[in-house]
Amino acid sequence: MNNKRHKLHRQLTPYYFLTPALLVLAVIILFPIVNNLTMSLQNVRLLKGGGGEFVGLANYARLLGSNTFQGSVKASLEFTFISLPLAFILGLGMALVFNEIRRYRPVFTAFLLVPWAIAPVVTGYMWRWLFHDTFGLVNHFLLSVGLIDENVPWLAQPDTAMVAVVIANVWRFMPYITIMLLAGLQGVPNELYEAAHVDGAGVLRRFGHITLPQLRYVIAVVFLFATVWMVNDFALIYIMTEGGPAKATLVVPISVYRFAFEHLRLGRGAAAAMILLIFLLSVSAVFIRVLFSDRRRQAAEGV
Amino acid sequence: MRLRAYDQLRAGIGYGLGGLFVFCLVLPLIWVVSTSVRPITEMTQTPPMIFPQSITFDAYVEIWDEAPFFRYALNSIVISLATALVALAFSISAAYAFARFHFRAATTLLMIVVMSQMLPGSSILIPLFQVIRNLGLLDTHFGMILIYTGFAIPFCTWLLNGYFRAIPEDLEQAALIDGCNRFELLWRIILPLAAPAVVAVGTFAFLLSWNEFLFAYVFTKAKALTIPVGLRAAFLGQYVNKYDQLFAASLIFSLPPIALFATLQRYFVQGLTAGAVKE
Amino acid sequence: MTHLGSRIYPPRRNIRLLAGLLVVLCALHSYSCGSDRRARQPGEPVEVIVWDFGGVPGHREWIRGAVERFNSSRDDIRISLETRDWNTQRESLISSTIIGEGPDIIRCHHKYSVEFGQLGGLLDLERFEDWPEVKKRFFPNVLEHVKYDGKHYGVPVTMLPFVLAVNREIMEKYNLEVPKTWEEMLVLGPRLAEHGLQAFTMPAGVNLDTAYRFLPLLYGAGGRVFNEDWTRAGFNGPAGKAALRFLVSMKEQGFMPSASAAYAFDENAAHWSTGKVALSIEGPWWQNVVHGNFGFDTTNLQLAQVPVPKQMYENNPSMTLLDVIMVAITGYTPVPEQAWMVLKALNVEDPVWSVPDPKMGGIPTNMAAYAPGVQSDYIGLDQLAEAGAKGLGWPGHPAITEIQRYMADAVNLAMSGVMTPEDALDSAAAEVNEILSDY
Repeated sequence: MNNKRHKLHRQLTPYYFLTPALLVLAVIILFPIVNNLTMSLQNVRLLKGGGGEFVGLANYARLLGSNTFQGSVKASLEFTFISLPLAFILGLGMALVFNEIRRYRPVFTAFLLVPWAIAPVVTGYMWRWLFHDTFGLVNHFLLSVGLIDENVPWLAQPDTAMVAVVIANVWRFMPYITIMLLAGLQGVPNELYEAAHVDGAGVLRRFGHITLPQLRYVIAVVFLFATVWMVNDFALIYIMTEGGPAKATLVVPISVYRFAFEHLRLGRGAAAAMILLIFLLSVSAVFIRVLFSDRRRQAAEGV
Repeated sequence: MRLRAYDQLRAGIGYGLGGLFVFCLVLPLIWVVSTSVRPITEMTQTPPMIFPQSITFDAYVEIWDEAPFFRYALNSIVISLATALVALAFSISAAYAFARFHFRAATTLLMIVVMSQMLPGSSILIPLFQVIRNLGLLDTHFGMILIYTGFAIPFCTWLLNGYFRAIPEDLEQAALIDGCNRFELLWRIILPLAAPAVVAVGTFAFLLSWNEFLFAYVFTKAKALTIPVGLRAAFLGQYVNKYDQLFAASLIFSLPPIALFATLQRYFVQGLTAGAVKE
Repeated sequence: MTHLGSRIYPPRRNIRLLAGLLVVLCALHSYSCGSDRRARQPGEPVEVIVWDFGGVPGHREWIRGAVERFNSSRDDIRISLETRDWNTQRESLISSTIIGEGPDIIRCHHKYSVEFGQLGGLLDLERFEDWPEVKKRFFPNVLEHVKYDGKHYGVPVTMLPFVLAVNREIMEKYNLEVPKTWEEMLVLGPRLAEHGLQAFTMPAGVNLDTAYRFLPLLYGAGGRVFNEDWTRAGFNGPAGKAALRFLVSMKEQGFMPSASAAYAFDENAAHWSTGKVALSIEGPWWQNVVHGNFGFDTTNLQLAQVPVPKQMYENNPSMTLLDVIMVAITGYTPVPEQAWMVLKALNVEDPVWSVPDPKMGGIPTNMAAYAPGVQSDYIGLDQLAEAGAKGLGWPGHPAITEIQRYMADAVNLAMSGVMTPEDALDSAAAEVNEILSDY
């Protein structure tokens, strides 16, 4: 009898520890995901009686057929997949430079972390004014070095507005990428380089054959995280352009917000969110493969 | 001798380039600082001037007069601190379970936790609005703390889990023999050893709620309004264009994160990369 | 590897810790609800909660003073005032209407008389005995704005007619006439361009401000937002298309700032205040905004009627846009009688409403304020009063905010050169028609 209770307790012990966290996750993340799916199949309104009748895939059909939403998806993809390589290349360059800095590195990294530490809202206001056509420093600078002849209305033209938000985004994410890659570089054993040096491998060869392969795990993590953060970004773009001009920067998160809280059509918003969710879930599936395969390998190697 | 010269040159280039990079990165912020200390009439000058002609710190005083800002600041502090504490408590406990117990659902649950880390954002905005509304928690501190705790837990748990695993179990065995219970074990042995990770995780949770905009924008209207949303409400409201105050408030608002990063960066960088960088 | 779970019982102290945290959370929760209505003890004054959305600094200063005066003069009612952000009033009202609890009195845009009045979020003022008396004090055309389905949902306190803001210095320096028609504005363009100046600026970004500047032009050309029986969009008729074509041609010829398609209200105000542009479509708040924020010398400010086309495009009478701010009592208030008393004291009887005061951000709707002999610091008050008299508001449709969103998008699309004015308005109209068919 006593033994049985003892056994039950033993089995339950981990759950005592897990319950608070899992409970919060269930309410804040897991339940909403399921609920989002059912809402996307209904005609739900925030006001006007609420609606709630089942409409099948009508919300999706409508979204996928609408130019605005297609434009949203395109804007999201542009924003993410232009920012990401740019931020990565710059971040990698910076990490390689910082790797050479031995003394006072904390001072450098302290400054480096500033763009990443401050709120995206502040970043948004700052860049919005830097890109202002007449009062902004960007035009002033470009004029004074002679790159442009007259003020460019950065945030008022579809193409240049995208450029502007991408620049702001790269500015913000580069530090994170640098820090991660720098930590990765520190982990590369020096013997590898020394051996390569003895073999007479040049700088580029060493970079291609030692540095990059050794960093591949960090790079994967950085790419996955940055993709998710960038695809999800709302504040920076919303403050800088509110999705304009001419819907050029109306990325999916802003689209979802607009459907839900400007048009009060929760169902349609949920369908838009679902498309985002599917994308994010596939990214995290990849992420989990990367993480857990590594764990399994480590376990197999007896680490 | 030649090698030393080469090394010195290399280091010199490193410092030069590094300094240049950092300078370029921080440059835009100079605009924020200079706007906050110039009279607003100077902001609309053409061509724009990087440095103000006359310096005034009025904006730094006036923002506190603009009634709601103080309240927004208080809300931000309460919500962020509470989130950090609660998220820490919950994820330490969860991470400990993942790291030290072998139970059947462990891998599945851990996968769910890791996966949840990717999702917070507009994709769950609408159903979460319904949840918070039905719980009667719209525009409350408690509601915001709950949301941010939920967002912080996955990353925190994952990171702490990695850290706890790296701590050898022998220590605990010894303590157990001395008659410690699980809680004492966690408190006396694991946590001190995992201090960097705990600091990193706490900072992460604090900053997450300190800087968050979208959910604060949708779920709070006045009572629990935090600074990211309040900036616009207080300084760019109806017919109000207080740019000097906007940027002064932005700067003050950015100080805690910058200070946290500057002082705790060692822990933070260690913690941040521990989960991602292979040992 | 031995694992430890097998040896010991669950840690009670850990559970205690969690319980402690829960207590802390509950304490925090009660703290966060601390500003809610408390249960009233006998003998305590009745609390009336006022949410004051938006308002220029002068208005806020006045209402704080007025509330203090009220509270110190009576011990049966206590007002607790909350000043709130103008831009989020709709969301605030949505949440509080859904939950059915919130303030007792709100000061907000008149368009919500329909959206929330119809949902039971606002109280019909006809229920108060002395409403007919109160009603008599206000301009009848303004009262129409707060009415829906024959019910009055608020007291209109301030009106905001849209007029043409003119930089007098520029006009005098180059010896130019204030334009009365679109054609004259187009002629003004090149003459100012010679001197490196622009003729006109307005917010044309994604913000709803854009729709509020487009509407005076549309109304002026004889157009309307809907057709007669409100079953279809009307803004894409000949008047609307002509108005948008006019704006786009002003911009394309360089008579408007090239960045106007990114401007919201604040950027437009900053730009106009630099003195590099002659005209803008704004209202009674303008003198306060450009002087108070940007140090613009108000002796150089002149107001005039919004220009209209030489020939009307549609048959409706030419009007300008008139916005109204109302004060309303919520439908869920537990203390309607006290709320009505507060509303009257603050918004009907207070002396501030009998003088047009530029610091208040808008002009009074109270007829007494325009009686002969009333002195006012308003620049161009005659022009404002004229615009107010021939002003027409946004149609009182429950979905008006959504419709404004489509119109703002259409103007923004055309002004950034992505779509022609005709296509932009037609595709917005298609969306709006679908909304209208829902009602």
